[in-house]
Amino acid sequence: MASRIYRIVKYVEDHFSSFAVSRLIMLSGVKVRKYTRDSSDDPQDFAKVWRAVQELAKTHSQLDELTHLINDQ
Amino acid sequence: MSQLFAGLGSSVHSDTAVAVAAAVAQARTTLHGHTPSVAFVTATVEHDAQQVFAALVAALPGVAVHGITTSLGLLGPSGVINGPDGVVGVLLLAGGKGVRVAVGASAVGADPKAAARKAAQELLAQSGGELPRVVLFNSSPGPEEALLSALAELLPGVPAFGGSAADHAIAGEWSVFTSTGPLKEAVSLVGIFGAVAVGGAIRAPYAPTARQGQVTASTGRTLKELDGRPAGEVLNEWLDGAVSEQLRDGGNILAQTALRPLGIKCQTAAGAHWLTIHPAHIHAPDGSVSLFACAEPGQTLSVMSGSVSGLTAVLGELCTESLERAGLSPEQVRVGILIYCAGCAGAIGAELDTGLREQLARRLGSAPLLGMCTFGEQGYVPGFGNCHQDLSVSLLLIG
Repeated sequence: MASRIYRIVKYVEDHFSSFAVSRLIMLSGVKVRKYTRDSSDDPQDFAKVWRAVQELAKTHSQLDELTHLINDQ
Repeated sequence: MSQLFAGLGSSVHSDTAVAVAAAVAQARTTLHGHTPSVAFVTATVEHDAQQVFAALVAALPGVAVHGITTSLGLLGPSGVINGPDGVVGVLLLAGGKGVRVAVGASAVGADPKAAARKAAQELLAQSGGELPRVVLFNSSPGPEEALLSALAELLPGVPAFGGSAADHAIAGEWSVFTSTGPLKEAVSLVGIFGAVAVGGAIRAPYAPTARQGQVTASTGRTLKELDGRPAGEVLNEWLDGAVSEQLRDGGNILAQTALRPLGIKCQTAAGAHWLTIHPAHIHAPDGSVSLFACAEPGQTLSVMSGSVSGLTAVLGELCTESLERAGLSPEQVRVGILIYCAGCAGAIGAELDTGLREQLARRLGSAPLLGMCTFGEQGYVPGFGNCHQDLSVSLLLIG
């Protein structure tokens, strides 16, 4: 399964901007760009990133998309 | 006509050397053949600072270097500039007849005042003792108050505008760029001397609320007690429980306090000026709070209140104020420096991009405007002097 953090970053980059990814780093305190597709997610990092991305998501549908994204195998 | 010339370039290329070369080449085109004496560089931390510096000196041999890393991206009238691999920005400054641009810098160790004196003396040595019209001030976050205090001794009455080096994660990855290379703890100054018009303003778009308390214990930027109680406990009450988790376990509270910071009221000849302070972290179990500025025992801290709309409207207000102070029309502006608190930028997100395009583009001419997101802001307040504060925005226009 691809890194969930990687998938979140890719979603944010594709749907928002690189600026938004930088905001994700700021809000979570996690250097998210070190996570590649095949990385193993540190559970604490994932918890911080998941909390932070919910502040970035503007709509319920975006939040739903993100939820499906991290739950897909 | 002004004899200050400036050119601005930027690049989001993934290769640092290529990005720097591209930014320099772009900046040269709007310098219209003038030889730069100073290169003001900024970059996000995706780019290695040493590689940025090496590429810059290769592209601009003999040109003095000044700058800081920026959080989140590069700012300008076109919005926020950033890419998957970061961004590099280069502002080239050149002085013609009657105008000089020079740099002074120093590493900051245990004695920040000594560092500031060294940097200022380096500046004055290049001007034969003449005071600059304005100083572009940039340093690592932490010693800004002490640095400004020392600068006031050697450069009395000289307005200083700038911001503190930043990264994305508040992880200490920032750098200050100097002519000897990038440094983690340093101060760098650009002095602009001679026949130029200068107008700058710094604002924190927040209003005080009725919630306030007295600092009863603090050390530097660590707030220990408010009204005799652990500072974190009092702060959590003021914020209606918004930082309860951090109070219990310790943690970062930047996001929770970006629109509700603390403020210290200062009286100036022109009325009250509020020094805004961004609470950064609550420490468990003692409940002390780390701040991005100093709060001394005996001072009264008030909870301030701000909004997303206020943090974008301030851009237009600063344009108006700075143009008025400089006595310039937009077309007469030769260069602008925009400093925007990274905490504010993080809080308002995409609205910043919109705000920059809507508020700056139609108010300013086509003069190069270099904007950065910083971990502390410094600016001149009439009747008060140069100050360091947080969650602020400043705009300096020179023509």
